[in-house]
Amino acid sequence: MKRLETLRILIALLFFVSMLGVVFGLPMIIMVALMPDRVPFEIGGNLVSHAHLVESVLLFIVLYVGYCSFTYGVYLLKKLLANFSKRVIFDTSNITLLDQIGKSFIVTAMLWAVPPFFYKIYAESRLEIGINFDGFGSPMFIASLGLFFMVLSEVFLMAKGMKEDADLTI
Amino acid sequence: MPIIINLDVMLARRKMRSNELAEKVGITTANLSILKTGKAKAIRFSTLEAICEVLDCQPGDIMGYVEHSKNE
Repeated sequence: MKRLETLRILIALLFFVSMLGVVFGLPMIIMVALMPDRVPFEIGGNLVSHAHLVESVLLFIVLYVGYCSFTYGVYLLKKLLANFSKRVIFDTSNITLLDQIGKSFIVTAMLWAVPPFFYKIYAESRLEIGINFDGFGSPMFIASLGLFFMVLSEVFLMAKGMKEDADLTI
Repeated sequence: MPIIINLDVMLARRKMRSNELAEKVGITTANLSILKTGKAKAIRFSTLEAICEVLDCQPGDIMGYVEHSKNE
């Protein structure tokens, strides 16, 4: 279980770093909305201009909500690992946690992929369709991770049933 | 479940107590209680063999099939 403890430390660290983004993200968005010239923010390599300020701020808010969803997923993962550490494995709470982690990651992926697509059409008059797989932060990877957690939840549900059967075999 | 356990009847006939049977069979009294109350989902052949050996009976003596009524 040494690996589990290492993983717990890493996830706790990731959660802490993610929380910094959650705490400072909203003031940043407000700053961009109030003084876009002083805070030069970029979306897709382009500076946020006065012309599309409202749309850009709305996009920032949506991306921020996606980020919050991701942080919530990491928080649930932290809780799940704490349960594993307490030797609570095939439990209903863990099945629910795995399912919720998966859903929160999928929400994150959707919020990070869909609104920027429409933003580019509206603000940049550019239609961009393609598979953007640039590392582990890409929406595609996060969606895959979310689905993996949901599958894992179903596997745990099956395992719980099998464990109950084994416990009631005399 | 349509399979019923008649272990209590056999124990009464043999004038044996549950904990004595559990000890001779090599299972815990908690597990024997699960078996007696019909909460068990399965029984190992080795356990069944041991119970039959201790109680000197056939598997059919300690369990039976009861047809489900359509209302259930």
